[in-house]
Amino acid sequence: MDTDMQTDTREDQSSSRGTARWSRLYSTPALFVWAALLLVTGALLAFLVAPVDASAMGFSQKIFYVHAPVAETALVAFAVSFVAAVLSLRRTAATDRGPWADLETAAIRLGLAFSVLVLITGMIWGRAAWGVWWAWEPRLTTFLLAVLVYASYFVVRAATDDEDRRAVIGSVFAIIAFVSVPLTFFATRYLPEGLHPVVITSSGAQMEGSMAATFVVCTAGMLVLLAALLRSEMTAARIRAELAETRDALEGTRP
Amino acid sequence: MRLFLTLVRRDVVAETRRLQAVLSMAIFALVVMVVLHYGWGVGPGDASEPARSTETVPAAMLWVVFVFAAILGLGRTFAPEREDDCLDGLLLLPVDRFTLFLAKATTNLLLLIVLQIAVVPVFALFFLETGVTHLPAFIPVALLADVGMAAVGTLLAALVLRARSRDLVLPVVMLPLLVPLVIAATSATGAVVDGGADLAEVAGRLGFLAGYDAVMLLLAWGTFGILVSE
Repeated sequence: MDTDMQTDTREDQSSSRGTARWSRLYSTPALFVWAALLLVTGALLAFLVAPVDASAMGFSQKIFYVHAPVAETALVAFAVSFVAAVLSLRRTAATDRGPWADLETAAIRLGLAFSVLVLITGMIWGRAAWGVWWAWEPRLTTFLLAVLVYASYFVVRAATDDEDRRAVIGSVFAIIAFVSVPLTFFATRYLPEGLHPVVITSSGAQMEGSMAATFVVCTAGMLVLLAALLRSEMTAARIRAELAETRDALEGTRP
Repeated sequence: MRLFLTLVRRDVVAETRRLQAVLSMAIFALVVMVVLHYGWGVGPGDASEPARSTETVPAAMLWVVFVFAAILGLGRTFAPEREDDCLDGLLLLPVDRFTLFLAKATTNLLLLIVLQIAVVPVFALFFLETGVTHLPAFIPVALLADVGMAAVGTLLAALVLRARSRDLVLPVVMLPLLVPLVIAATSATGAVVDGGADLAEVAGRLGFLAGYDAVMLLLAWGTFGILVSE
């Protein structure tokens, strides 16, 4: 055990010497800094460089630079949770599942937070553009349903006491939930086509250059923010697990 | 002092448990609102859309009734198996887990069909002036939707097999997942009852329902074994 750890650290040192300079650029705190830089740049571009939308939307279109990147990031987070859930279930030993299950839970928690943000920014914009806070429109309804489905992920997990069982149930439900989101989207399509503007179509983005650049910067910022948050959630989960282990060990030695 | 802190902690834990119940209830309430919207077609931003005809409102009502009745029944799927470790006995049978799932799901499907045979005539009597003249066209819609409900219900019943307060948790997880099915079934039933609906429209919804069933059965095939054996 001891020798294992020693070789581990030695390997870490020899390999990290060459990459230390680079790894510092994607450490968790650095990721937060990158996200902040990108998002602030994006906000400046949105307000100072990108033109006021020529169509009827006018100034209220600015919220697009927050709304759409957040929406895409939420979907990426759910996709991450799906992949993590599949990988977690493929591991046979409960201990191997740990990190994947942690990633899955963290991704769902963040995806949920980003989805709520999508709904809020969407409602603000809807109020400005359509005059109503809510419209029953395929994308809005899909996100609302996604929030409800993924919120029930935590209900189902909380109702299960056994830790291994909870991880398995969580992973299975994460897979079912991820599949249900596109199904909802297709089903809501059976209503007459909604009011929601479609900016990125199959024939390319319907944006002019500076708007597209702003959008790309904002999306990159949101995605880096997601990565940073996922990393810190993972670290927190690992520390919690270690704490629980230590506590168990201490209680075991108590007379 | 230590005892005092323990007491406080106990109460705080109890309160967070109740928070769980509140969250469940809130999810449930919101999903019901979504389902009701798709049946009734009322809400902001729908100005362009004509109000639903008097035939499609009963269609929505019918599916809301079915789904709630189904949740009541499907929650009992594994109830007999929990007694005397009966599930362990079933798992010892020389069949693969998916066969077990199909057996359970088929039983649930039969249950739903019996429910509908009993409910649809009463429903037609209560709410439809035209009676059951559209029955032949309604049967494929109902069957496809039943397969989906049975599949989802059986899979989720296995999911909450060992959970605390199963009866609260199952509707909360099941209802949001059934929303696509309810939307498609409602609009297909509405089109059928409407009479003058074009067949391509109904066929599209039937295709969606078949796809939903296939996806859910595929998920069950992939995950049911893990759920019952762990």
